[in-house]
Amino acid sequence: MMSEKRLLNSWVLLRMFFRSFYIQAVWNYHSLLSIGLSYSLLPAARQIYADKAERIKFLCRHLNFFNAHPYFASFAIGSIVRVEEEQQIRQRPDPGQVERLKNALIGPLGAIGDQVFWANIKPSSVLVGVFGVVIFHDLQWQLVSLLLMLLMYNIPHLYVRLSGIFKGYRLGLEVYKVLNLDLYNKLKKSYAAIGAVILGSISGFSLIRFVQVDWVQGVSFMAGVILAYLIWKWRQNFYQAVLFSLLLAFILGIILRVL
Amino acid sequence: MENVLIALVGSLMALDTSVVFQTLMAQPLITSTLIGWYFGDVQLGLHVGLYLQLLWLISMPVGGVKLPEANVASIVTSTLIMRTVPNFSNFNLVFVIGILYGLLISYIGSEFVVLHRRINSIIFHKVYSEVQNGHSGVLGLTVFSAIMVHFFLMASLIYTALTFSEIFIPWLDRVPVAWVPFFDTGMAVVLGIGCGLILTIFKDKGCKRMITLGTVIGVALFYIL
Repeated sequence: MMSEKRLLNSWVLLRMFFRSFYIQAVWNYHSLLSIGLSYSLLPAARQIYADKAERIKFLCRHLNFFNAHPYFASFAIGSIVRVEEEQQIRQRPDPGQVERLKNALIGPLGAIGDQVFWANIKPSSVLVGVFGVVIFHDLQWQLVSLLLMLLMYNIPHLYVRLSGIFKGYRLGLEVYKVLNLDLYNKLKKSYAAIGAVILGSISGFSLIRFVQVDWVQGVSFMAGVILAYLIWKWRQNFYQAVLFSLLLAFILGIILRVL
Repeated sequence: MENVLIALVGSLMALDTSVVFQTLMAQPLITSTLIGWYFGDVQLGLHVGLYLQLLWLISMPVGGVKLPEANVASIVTSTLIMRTVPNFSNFNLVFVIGILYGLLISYIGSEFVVLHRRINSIIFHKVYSEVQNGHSGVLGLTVFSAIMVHFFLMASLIYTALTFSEIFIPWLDRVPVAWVPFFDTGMAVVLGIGCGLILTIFKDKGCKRMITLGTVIGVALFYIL
């Protein structure tokens, strides 16, 4: 049971939200995000632990190791401060419990964030911006599509960061209830569908445009698509995929021109 | 002086890639548009940005993976194209050279990110012992200095890359005229590569029908617009 007494108010949670934007600033190979995490936790540490020695112990514990998706790390920040606060109110310190909570959150926070943001929301939002630039000739509409791209990405981005802190704080140890990939399936699938339709549209539009200029350009465009796709599937290396595709598609273009 | 200005603004935007915020402001589509605006041709900036964007969109900042530094590359490539196009007849040749140069810069940029993380690793031990000694204020100072280190690393890379490009760009005039038509397919190939790379993201999710539908819509839009 969580107690009703609170040491932290909404202002402290908001300050942690603002600090969470810097969580990756000191990314390092020893403790990954731990310095950014401790920096975000500092406003809460000052409220929870009036005694300086206790506060230093708290910070040292959280400096050890931490990793997560930068946006979803907010859930960890909120739940950590809630559990620490509970322990302080009840005068039952149990650093092991906080450590176990943190370690249990690392996997889900990384997996959900990567799946939702890096693999779906980011590419789909960016494709919306690209689509506007490809389709419209009017500069005004092209710039509107860039604005739409930023909104499509940053509304869920800021929502996750902010709600993560507050939900994490409200749920404490039960934060795992809102860290289920299934809960984000609708969002994921909607963005994936938008991204796929737009990618198809950009490809179809560009192919016809290149063919209308010169059929060799149309063939080169398709060669680029197929080669990049195959080489990426084979090697999973950005530079190899781009450079080999570029070279082979160029050679094909030269052969076609000479013939 | 112009190189210094572009390097400072560019490296400020590069912070958004992974160090702070991550709001998409560092994406090539945005940075190239700003470069275009600075040089007085927003539309050209947007178009260069779209090619660079598609090319680099496949790079996902998952965990501690070493990523091509797309932001810095797009700033350098866009500036190179914007500066060269008014004085040079063959846009496609400049475009291809710009893309190749951008690829090189993005690779060096990724090495700089690794260097920054190594510096952070060295700092970590110092920070830990300072906090143990009761100096919790060192956390804020560390965050600020890590941001500044990243800022200056990227600024120095952009400045050096722009300065070096001024040396080799005049040499493009020496490309034999007979070779020039071979670069005509440059934009088509680069756009194709971008689409092919992104296809690997969406093909995995069973979005085939959506991609087919989109292709039909794209063809229809071409004739309607």
